[in-house]
Amino acid sequence: MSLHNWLPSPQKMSDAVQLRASGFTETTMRQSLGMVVLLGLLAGFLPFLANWQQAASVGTVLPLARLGAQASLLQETPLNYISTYFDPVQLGELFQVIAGLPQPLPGWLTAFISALGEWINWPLRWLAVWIVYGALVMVCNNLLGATCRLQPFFAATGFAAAPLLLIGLSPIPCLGRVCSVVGVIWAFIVYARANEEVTSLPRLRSLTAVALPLLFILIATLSAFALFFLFIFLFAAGF
Amino acid sequence: MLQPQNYPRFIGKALLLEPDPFVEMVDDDNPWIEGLFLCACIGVLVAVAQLLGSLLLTASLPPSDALLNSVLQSLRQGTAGGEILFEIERALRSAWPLLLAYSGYDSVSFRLLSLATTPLGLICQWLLFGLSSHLLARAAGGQGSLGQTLGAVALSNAPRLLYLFTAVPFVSVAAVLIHVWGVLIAFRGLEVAHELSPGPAALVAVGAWLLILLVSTLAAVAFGALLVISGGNL
Repeated sequence: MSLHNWLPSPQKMSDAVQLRASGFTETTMRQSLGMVVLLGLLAGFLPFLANWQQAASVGTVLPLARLGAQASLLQETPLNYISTYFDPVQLGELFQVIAGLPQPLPGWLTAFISALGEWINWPLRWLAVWIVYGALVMVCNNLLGATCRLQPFFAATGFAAAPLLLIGLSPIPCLGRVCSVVGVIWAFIVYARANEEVTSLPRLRSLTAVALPLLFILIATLSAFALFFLFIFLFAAGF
Repeated sequence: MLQPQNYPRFIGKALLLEPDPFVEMVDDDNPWIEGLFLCACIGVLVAVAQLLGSLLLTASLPPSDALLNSVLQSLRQGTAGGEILFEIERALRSAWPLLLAYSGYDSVSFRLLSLATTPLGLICQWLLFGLSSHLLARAAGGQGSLGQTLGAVALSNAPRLLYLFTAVPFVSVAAVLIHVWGVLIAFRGLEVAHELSPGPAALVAVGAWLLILLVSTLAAVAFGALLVISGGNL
């Protein structure tokens, strides 16, 4: 089981992020899978350290440490939409009480475990985007006349993970956010280029196939929100 | 003959949508028994991982009673009062065990039970998916037998092994990833087992998955209705 079987060469990655056609050929789905997982882990490393530090400083798990931090923020600058429903000071106190409750394991260990869990979520989320979004794009590709197979498609589109490495810089103040935005836009461009290369569709059709799932996801999300609020409304009316 | 030593290779290749494991599964003398054993193995492994995750999560968080009491105490000190407060408290108390069971937090006994229910649930789901995809595939002109379909479709459970990561608390595996990847694998399996062309194979895989979704939704609605009728005390 050599590394070469699980990762494309650095030259291929470099070619792909520079949108060169040679970057998207002769790569296997196995190599792309390895690349997505490895880059996800690399991108998540800096946030992992930041999360561990944040949770360890409070001596609790990451979500509770975040609640505690949120409590301080709430008490400093109460948000209008929250104060309509809850007393922000009281909510802040509740968050702090919850964050301060003792747990069986030592604080540093719970902090490490929760930060580790968050770290593992990085490659899992990237895998989800790669596979699920890819499946939707493949449906659109086929509807628009492409005939390519799943394996070469996933092999080529996996390279979109390379620019996403920039998201890993997100804990850096200001610069991190700019890098994240640049990373996402760059990844989208690489994805569109990979799709064009692997499907041989004209550029406009290829772009349409890549963008249509975004529209679908937007509609689905809005519908889910609408259903959720309808459910809440009906539940509240039941009182 | 059962060949569990081949399962890691089958699973790895199925995840990469390669045809070899499906060919081997279909050519096996008892493909459905291989499928059954594979599903059971995946189910047991996932359940053990979830049990470990539940234990670690419970040890990492404050006791659930203390957490609930803090929330209720804060509610009582709030602006809401009388009937509304009573209703909120009642709803929270009845939803709390469900929340715990769902998250694995302070619900180790429930997770112990899932050592049996997870493999069983997975096997039922596989049988339903296999049967419906077989019927649809035959209707679409497929040539495979039911045993071959069940064997090939069993590999669509391979992505569920990602749930092994839930042994670490706070890891969440998107259900949509498991389902979509599973459908892609089933599509490849149906292509091989029934010698279908990509179009019909895709339609059959998606159709069978939609049927599973419908059955699951109906079961969830029935469970929810029972819960409402019983006033949250099943």
